[in-house]
Amino acid sequence: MLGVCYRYTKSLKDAEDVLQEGFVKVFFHLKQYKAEGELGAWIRRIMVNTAINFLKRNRRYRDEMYFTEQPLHRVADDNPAIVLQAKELADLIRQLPPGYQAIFNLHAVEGYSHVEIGEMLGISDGTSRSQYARARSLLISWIEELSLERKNENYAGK
Amino acid sequence: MPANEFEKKLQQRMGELKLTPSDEVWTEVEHRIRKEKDEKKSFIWLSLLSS
Repeated sequence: MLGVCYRYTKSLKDAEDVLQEGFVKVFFHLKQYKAEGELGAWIRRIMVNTAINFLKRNRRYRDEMYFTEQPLHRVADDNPAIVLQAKELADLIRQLPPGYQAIFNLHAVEGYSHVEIGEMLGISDGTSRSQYARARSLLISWIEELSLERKNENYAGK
Repeated sequence: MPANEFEKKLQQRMGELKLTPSDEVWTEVEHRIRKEKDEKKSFIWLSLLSS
């Protein structure tokens, strides 16, 4: 679960703060857990909600979460091969501006719809959609850049 | 739900992200749970006493 918190924050300390808060919530709400779904998925949902509340509450994140309405950019169909390790990839996601970072995680990794994200963040689904498109293309360019670097390093090492 | 190949691969890779929290996290969680339980208990006592 620390991995989930890590993706939404900018430092390990913040990730651990979210994790702590999330676990306390899990403890006190365990009675509400209905044995329908998977326990892991239920805990993960609590962690994600705790992370989002943390971002909203914390000035360092909140002040940089500009959810401005921007013209909709069509989501590019690029599907670059991901040769990076999980940690490297997570660190790239963490470099996105806080608003992009949250929306990207919620949609791409957690699978929330833009309507759901809009409700969670208090923005319109159109804003979520356009911010996602920007976050996605930014991330793809970083992935390609880093992958190329890795490739060159490998050649140089031979 | 994003159905794109990129999102699928990304989800899969992020599922592999395993990080271990420091021991302090567990100590603090335990501490906070105990504190919150005590607060709840004293709240029940207070409301009983004042009723």
